[in-house]
Amino acid sequence: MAKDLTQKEMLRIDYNPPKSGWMDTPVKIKPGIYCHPAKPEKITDVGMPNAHTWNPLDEDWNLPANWQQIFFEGMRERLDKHRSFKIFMDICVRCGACADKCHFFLGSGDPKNMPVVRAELLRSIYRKEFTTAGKILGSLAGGRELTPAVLKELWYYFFQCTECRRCSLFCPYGIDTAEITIIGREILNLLGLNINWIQEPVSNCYHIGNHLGLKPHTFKENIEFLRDDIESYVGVRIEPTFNRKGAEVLFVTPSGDVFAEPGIYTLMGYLMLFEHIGLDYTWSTYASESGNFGFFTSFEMAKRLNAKIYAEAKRLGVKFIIGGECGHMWRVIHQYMDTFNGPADFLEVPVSPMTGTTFENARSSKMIHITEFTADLIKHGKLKIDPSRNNHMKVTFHDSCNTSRAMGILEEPRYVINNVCKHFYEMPDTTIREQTFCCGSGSGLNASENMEIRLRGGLPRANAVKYVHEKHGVDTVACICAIDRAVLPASMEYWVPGVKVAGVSELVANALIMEGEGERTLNLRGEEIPVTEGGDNV
Amino acid sequence: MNNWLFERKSSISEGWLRRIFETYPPEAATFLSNQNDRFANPIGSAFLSAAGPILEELFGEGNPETVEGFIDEIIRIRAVQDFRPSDAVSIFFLLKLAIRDEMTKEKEGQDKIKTEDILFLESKIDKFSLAAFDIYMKCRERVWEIRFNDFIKRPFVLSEAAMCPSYLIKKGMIKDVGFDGEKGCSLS
Repeated sequence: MAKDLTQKEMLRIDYNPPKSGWMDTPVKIKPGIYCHPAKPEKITDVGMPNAHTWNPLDEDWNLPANWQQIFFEGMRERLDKHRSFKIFMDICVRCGACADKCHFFLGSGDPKNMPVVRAELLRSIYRKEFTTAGKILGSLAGGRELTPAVLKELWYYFFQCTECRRCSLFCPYGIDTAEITIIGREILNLLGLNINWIQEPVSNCYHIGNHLGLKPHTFKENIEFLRDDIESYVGVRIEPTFNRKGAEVLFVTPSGDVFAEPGIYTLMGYLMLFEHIGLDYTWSTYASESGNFGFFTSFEMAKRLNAKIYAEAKRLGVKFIIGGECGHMWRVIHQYMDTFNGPADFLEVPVSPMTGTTFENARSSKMIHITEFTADLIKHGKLKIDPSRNNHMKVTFHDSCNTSRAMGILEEPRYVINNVCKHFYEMPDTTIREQTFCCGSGSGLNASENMEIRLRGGLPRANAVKYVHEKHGVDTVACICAIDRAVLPASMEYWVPGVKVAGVSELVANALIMEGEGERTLNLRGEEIPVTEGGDNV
Repeated sequence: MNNWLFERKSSISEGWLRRIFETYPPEAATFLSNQNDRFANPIGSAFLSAAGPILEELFGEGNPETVEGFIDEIIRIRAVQDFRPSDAVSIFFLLKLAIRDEMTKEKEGQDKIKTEDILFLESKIDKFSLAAFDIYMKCRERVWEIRFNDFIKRPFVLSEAAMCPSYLIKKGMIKDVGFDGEKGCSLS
């Protein structure tokens, strides 16, 4: 018989679950948080090991019998190879400076999303297996055994880190938690534990040329469809070229811009900009992807995918490369390309054919970001612009993690936006530039099945957008990253309805006065441009 | 409304917030309750800014629609966090506990409050709980709509085989589409 509660006991029912520290709280894998596992054939066809079928909700993940040995050997190899990884494993003093800087922690309240704890998941194994103190003292020295449950926890949380590096900005020791995640994922890949949203694009990119698997004719046709749209809305016929040898510039952009909304409008912007200035450039249907999901898999895969852009530049005989609005591409180009596949000494240091500006920052990589290229054009008065066409928009700018923290592209997009839009409002200082919050879905986590964790991770960014939306009526978030363009719409729909997302090049093209254009009553989305009675845009 | 309780509104608010933050893991609860900056602590500051107006309304007219925006703000957050539905909407039950805490803190409290007052107040809180449930359901449905829209907007080249549920079921990579025994409804 149930125990009779006293009146006092009835008033004190505890709604809270029992508490335990992070190491003693077992992981509970939940739908909505993780992405589907990689298809075995997509692992095998890029020569990666231990492809197998498994389900994250199952007790048994069908791991190879010697999975612990593979894990430890993989970890040892990386400790020997990457001095930074070894240092990051050793020097953290758990000061907590990073703890409250992660968008996933700020949106979830889950302590295992604190960067320090997420790294500690792996560090505890390092201590137990690779340090004398940990081997002898075990948990007293912060070490723990690598059990199947611990492996599952590692998988769950390394795919809840977008490698945005905001935490590293605040670490007094300079520990880059993103690098820990990168290597953690590499080790998981040795066991065939990638997610399909990353693995299939990797396979596509490796075999076909882009993440989406667009074959050359499809890639070309899609761009031609967008060219037709430009003709309908702007009245100008553009004839882009493909795989043209002898062009001055090779242009590469994320394949999401070719195929998915709202990226396609950004791509229309590129087409119009290059037509406007008469740039001698070509698209490639082989190096048809500037993004690099290999970077979310292993350094080796990143290197292999990065190589094709440069191989194609060499084949076509271009002078330099311009990359579209992409985030992680720029981290790969600026922080890894030289040691991956450099030096690109068969290319020339980029010099703008229109302004004569030498892009010293790209002296080694020979590749520049379209936003710095556009900013330079505006600075030298090379663009004919009617910013009033964007007068009806109230715009803010979301700094992409990689372009801001890894590359320092901070002023250029703001300069461009301020020249093509009348109403620009910054989000609060602690949420932009180097301190920018991640969109919540970077590093290959932009699938649909993990929407709940995406929305959690998107909260800090959306919260800042909401602030300028309420204060200034901001209705457009501009960005220079294809993943941002793909994922921020969902985040806005949930947290700040009424705010749309646009690439900066889309805003530029809406303002461009094209030679021979018709009356511009529609924007690149085919929407009416609101006009006041006096003829001015509102 | 009972004056004795109304005068202790700020203390009740503190107790209520403490109980809400305790629904998060201890490592997080401290941070959520101590950092007031809206941008450094979006969860905590949402609760901090909503508690006052909600209590004001509760002790006044008691119409949840008046403060729907505040209830929405906090339930919208909890609707996508790691809570069971009952835990996500439990915040107004925690308010009852916070009020009982206040009443039992001083003997005087129990003497000065009439039973009818407390019953009336708790009925009002029940209305707020039901409003929270409505908002929770709206948010969950929105999550699924967004997820579905995101799915159908995927480039078909990828969705054709990579993510098609029938493919995943065939390969045993997901268990079921729909109700799945103990795990409930899932497509993952």
